[in-house]
Amino acid sequence: MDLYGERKNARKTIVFLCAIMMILLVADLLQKDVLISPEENRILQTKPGLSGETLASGEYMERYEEYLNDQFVGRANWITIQNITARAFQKKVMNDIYLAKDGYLMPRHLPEDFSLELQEASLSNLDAFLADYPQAKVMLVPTADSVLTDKLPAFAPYFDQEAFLERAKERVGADRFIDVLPVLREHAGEEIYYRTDRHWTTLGAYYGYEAFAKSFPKPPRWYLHGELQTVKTDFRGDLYAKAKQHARPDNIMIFPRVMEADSYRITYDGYLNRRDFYEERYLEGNGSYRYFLDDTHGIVEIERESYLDGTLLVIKDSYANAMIPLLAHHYKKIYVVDLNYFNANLTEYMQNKDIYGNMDVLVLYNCTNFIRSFPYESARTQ
Amino acid sequence: MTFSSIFFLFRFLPIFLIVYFMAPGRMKNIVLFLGSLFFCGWGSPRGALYVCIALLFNYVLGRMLCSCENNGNRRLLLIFGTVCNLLFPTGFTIFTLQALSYLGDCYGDREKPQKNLLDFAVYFTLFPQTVAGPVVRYGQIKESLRERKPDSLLVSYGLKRFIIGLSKTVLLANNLGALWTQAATKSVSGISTLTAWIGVVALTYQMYFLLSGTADMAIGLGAVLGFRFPENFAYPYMAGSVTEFSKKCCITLVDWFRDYIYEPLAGEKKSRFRALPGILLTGLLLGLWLGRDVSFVVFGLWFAFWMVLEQLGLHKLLEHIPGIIGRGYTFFTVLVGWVLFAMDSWKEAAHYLLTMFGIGPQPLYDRESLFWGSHVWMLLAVAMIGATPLCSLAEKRLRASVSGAGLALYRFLEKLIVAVLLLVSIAYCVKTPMMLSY
Repeated sequence: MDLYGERKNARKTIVFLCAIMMILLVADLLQKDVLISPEENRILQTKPGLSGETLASGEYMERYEEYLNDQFVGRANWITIQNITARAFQKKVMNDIYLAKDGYLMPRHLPEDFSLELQEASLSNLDAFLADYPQAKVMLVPTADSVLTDKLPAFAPYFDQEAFLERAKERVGADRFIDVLPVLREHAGEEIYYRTDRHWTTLGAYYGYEAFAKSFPKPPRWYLHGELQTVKTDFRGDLYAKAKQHARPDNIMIFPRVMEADSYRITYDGYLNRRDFYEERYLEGNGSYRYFLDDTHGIVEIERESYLDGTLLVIKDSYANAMIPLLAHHYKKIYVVDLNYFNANLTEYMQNKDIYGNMDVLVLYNCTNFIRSFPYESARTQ
Repeated sequence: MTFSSIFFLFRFLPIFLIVYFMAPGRMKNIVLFLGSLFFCGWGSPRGALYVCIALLFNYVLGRMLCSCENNGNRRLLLIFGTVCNLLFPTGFTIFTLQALSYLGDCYGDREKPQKNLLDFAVYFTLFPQTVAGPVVRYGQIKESLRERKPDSLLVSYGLKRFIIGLSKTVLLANNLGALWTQAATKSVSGISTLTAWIGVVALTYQMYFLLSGTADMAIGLGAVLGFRFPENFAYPYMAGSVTEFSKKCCITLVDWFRDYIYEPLAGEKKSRFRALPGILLTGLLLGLWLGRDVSFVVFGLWFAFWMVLEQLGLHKLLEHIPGIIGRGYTFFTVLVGWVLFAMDSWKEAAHYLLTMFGIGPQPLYDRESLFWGSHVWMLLAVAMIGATPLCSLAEKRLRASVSGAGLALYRFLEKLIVAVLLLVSIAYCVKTPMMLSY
C-alpha cells in the first residue's frame, strides 16, 4: 500500500474538515447577536449574565448553550438545510403543517383533537348565545383541509368538518345557519385559501359574503373577479412561518372600496381611530394577513356616514377580518367582537346599542377555532 | 454537554483541540485532564467535584491493593472499594464501571496499578467515552496514557468516524426517536396495530443509531487524541441468536458484565447449575445498572431468559434451521426488549406489546398508520440499510478496486461526502422550537 499517498490524503482530509469548522467558527465569532428571528417569529436567547449562583446550579451553562445555539451563524440557512433533508426523506408534515399538493401548506387538524365533548362545549355556548340573540345567524367556515381535501398528502388524517357542520346546522336550525361549505367546495378550483396562511383569501371571503347576503337577505353588491386589486405579491403567511417549507408565495388582494374614502370611522378597542379597513404597514414583512382590520382586537366599531339605519353585531375570529370590509356598506354601525380578546361583559356592553331596533347578529368563525374556543358564557358573566 | 450541541462543536472542541495539539509532550495529559474535567463540570460543577473525589479514592485504593500482601485484607479492600464506588453520588455511570474494573483487575493481578496520578486521572476522566461508552478498560489503553504519537492517519480516521457518528445520531436517531415517541405517547389512548409496529421498528433502529453513533463519536474523538478505543458494535441486528446479539451490541458493556459478574458467578467449569442462574443474575444486575425500575429489570431478564433457553438446546436447534429464521427470532426478541426498555413503566410496555400483537380493541390499521407508512418508509429504509454492513463492505470493495485516477476520484468523493454529512449534521444540531412530528 502506498503509505506516503495515504498520509498525504489523510493530511488533506484533516485540513479540509478543520477548515470548514474554523470558517464557521470565525464567522460565528464575528457575527453580531440578533434579538429576534423573523423567520421563526421568536425572540432569541441573548448572552446570559454570569453569577456564582447560576454557575453553581448549572443554569448559566444551560442558558449559554441555548444562547450559542440561538445565535449560531447563518441560523436561517441551517433551518433551510433541515427542511431540504426532511423533504428528501419524503416527510409530509412539518411542525404540524401538512405539505400538501400544488404548493399548499395546510394546518393539521387531527380528529382526536376535536372530540365530541369539545364540540359539545362550543355548541352549548352557541345555544346560550342564540338564546340571548335569537335573531343571530351562524356562519362557520371550514378550513382548507376540509374543502381542498384532495390536495392533502395521501392518507393524511384530518378532522372532517363536514360532519360537525351538519351537527351545528341541525342544532341551530337551517334558517339560522349559513352553510358555506358547499359554496366553497363549488369554488374549490379558485384561489379561495392562501397557500401559505391558514386564512381564506379575499376571494374566499367574497363567497362567504355572497352566502351572507343571500341569507339575511341583503341586496349584495356583485363584485367581478377583474375588480380584485393585488396589494402584495410575495405574501408568506403563518403556515410558511411554522413549516419553513418552500411554498409558492400568495397574493393579497382586495376588492375596490365601495364607498368614498373617509366615509367610515373605525375605532379599535375604543381608542385607535382609522378611516380604512386596511393597514398598509403590515404589507411589509411577514404576517400580512394582519393587513385586514389591523389584526386582533377585542372590539372594533365601524360607523358609516350615511342615511342607513342598520346595526350589525359580529362575534368572530380572524377569519371575519377579510369579509367585514365587504359587508360594511350595508350598515350604519357594526360592532365586531372577538370573544377571546374582549375583556368586558358583553351583555352590558351591547345594552342600548340596538338603537334602531333591527340589529342583525352574525357569528362568524372558522370551524376549528370555533370548536377550540367559543367562550360566550365567560364573556357574558365577566 | 452533548456531542451534538453547538457549544461542543464550535467552542469546546476547537479550543480544546488547538490547545491540546499545541501543548508539548507530557503537557498534553494535563490539557486532556483539565478538558475532561471541564466537560464533566459543564453539566454540573458538583459532578466534577465528585469525579475528582472518586478519582483520588480509586487511585489510592489501587495502590493499596498492589502493596497489600494479605489475601484477606485484599479481599476486604476490594469489597470496600466496590461498595464505596456504588455509593458515590456520580450515579451508576461509565465512571463506576471503569473504577470497578480497574479495582478488579488490580485485585486479580491482571494489571499493575497506575502509579502516576496524572495518567490515572486521564484514564478515569477521559471525556469522549464518559457520555455513553465504550467502556474502556485500563489495560486497553494503558500504554497510550503515557505517550501518544501523533499520526495523521489516525487523526483523519478519527475525524471521519466522529462525523459519521454525529450524522447517525442527529439525522437518523433523532428522527426515528420522534417517530417512536409519537407512537408511544399515543399508544395510551389507542393506536392501530400497524402504527405500533412502525413505532417499534423506529425505536429499534433509534436505539442502534443513538448508541452506535455516540460510540462512533467517542472512538473518533479518541483516535484524534491518539487513543484506540475498543469497538462497541458489530452490526447487532444481523445476529442469528440472542447470545450472538449480546456479543455484538454494546460489546464493551456486555463484556464488562460477563467478565466481572458472570464469570465469577459461573465458575471455571461453567456447570449448568451455576452458569444458568449466573446468566439470569447478570441480566438482572445489568437491568438494574441501566435504571432502577421494574421495566429495566424485566429488560435484563428478558434477554437472559432467551440466552438460558439457547443454552438449554435452542441454540442447537437454531444451527439446524435456515439462518434467516434465527435472525428473525433474534430481531423480534430484541424488538420486544427495546419496548420494555423505552416505556416509562412495565404496564405501558405490556399495553404496547398487546397492541402490537393485535390483542385488544384497536384496528389492524387506520388512516394514520397508512399516512405514516407513506412518508416514513424512506427514513426506515435508510435506517435498515445503515444497520447492515452493506455500506462499509461496498466502500471497502470500491477502495480496493480503484487506483490511479480512480483513486483520486475516490478520495475526492470521500471528502465531499464527509463534508456534506458534516454540514447537514450541523444543521440538525441547530435546535429550533419546531417539533419533530410525524
